[in-house]
Amino acid sequence: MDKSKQLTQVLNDCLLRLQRGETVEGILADYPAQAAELRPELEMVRSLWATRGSDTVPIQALQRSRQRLITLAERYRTEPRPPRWRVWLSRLLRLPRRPAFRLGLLLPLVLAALAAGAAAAADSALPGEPFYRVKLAVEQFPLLLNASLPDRLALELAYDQRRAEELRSAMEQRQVSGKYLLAGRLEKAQTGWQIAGIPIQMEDGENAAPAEGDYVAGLLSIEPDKPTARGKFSARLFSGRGIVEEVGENRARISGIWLDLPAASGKLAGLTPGQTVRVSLVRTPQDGWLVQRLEVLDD
Amino acid sequence: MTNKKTNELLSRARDLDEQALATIHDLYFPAVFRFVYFRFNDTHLAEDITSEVFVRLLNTLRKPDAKILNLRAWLIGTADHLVIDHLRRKYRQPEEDILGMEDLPSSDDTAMLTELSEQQKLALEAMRSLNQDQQQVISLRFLLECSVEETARIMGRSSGAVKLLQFRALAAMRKLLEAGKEERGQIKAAHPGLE
Repeated sequence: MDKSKQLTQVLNDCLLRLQRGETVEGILADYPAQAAELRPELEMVRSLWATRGSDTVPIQALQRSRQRLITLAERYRTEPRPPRWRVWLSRLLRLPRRPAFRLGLLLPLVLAALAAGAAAAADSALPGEPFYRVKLAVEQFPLLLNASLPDRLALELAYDQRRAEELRSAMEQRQVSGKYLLAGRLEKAQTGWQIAGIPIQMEDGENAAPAEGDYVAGLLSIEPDKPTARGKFSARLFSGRGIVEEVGENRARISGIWLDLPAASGKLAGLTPGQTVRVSLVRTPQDGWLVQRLEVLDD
Repeated sequence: MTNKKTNELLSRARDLDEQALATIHDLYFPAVFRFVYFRFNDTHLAEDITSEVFVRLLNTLRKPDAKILNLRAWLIGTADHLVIDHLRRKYRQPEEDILGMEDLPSSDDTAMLTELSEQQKLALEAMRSLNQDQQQVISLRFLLECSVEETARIMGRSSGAVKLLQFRALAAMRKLLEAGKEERGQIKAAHPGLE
């Protein structure tokens, strides 16, 4: 124990004994080595202790203070108590005094408000408008969060439909130019083709040309002075992972959805219930799903 | 006063019972007043701050989830916060000291101080020259007779830290008193006619 700690301990013992009524001399006799150092401090404490009883609290001060308290209590008694929800709300809105705390609390709120405002503004944005990219980015969150295969497929189909409707609305409202993703069923139009009511001109791609009723996707190029948009379209690929639940003839049920697996593809071989698989799918004209690729992730 | 009795009083005070509020007030007013007075040596200021402590108690009791585990510690702790707030305001906006009038005690102060011996006055003066933490520990331990544990609770420190702070505060006070004694000795030597 160092000298300072030792002295602290000794001083504390002395104070306790002084408080019990022992004399300074009697106490110091037990600590001859520290007596010279301790004496003035013990004397000083004794002086301070002596001041406790030497003062009298001004009675008028006590009466004035009591009256103030009672008057305030009377006022509170006559006014109704605020409802509990208001108490909680005021507590929630009360900010700590330090500017750093205020900033720390306000900054996330302001950012959240800005993000919410941007998301709200983006919700009605159309292709070519400033918030459209924000809208596309925000829509990716549910896709990332939805691990189940049926949910993912339903969301992707819904997004395809939404994109096509947005593009059609934008083209009806104003002159649109640029390149936009478009996906949907390929339909015959009076002159050429159309997807979700948008007339398109098919360009030759590397894959086989799609046929009427195929669910396709491609990058649509819209030029200001051209009446019809052009693009290369091929079968739209959907992907996701799921658990094999049942294996039937030329098909398998994965996470609640029946997927077609042509026997000739050999993908059914070795597939057993309980396996986790990653699949790439195309939409069939009958609104079914055809497996293009299948990968077993674990057994 | 037992914990049970204090809790009963607090419960009645929560319902704005006038008698309970008056009892709490009269019971603890002297201790809180002394705690503030010994820090400032100003009865008017001590009265204002002490009165504010009890108003805050009433406001706290009106809050549905307010919990006061140790009433005395709560009152002294609140008084200490108000003392510190007052000192902060004073340092930020120092008032004009017209002709040094601020240093003169009021009539009430004089009445209180005359009862103190020279040594006691010097001890109090030395205490007021300490830093805030040191003043607080000395006030709580030796003027209000709080135990080390109670002092630690009020100050929000460990008992060990309180003991160390108390040790340093007493050492600092002793140095201040010794320096004052030396100074007074020199003045007396230069002016033998002075009392």
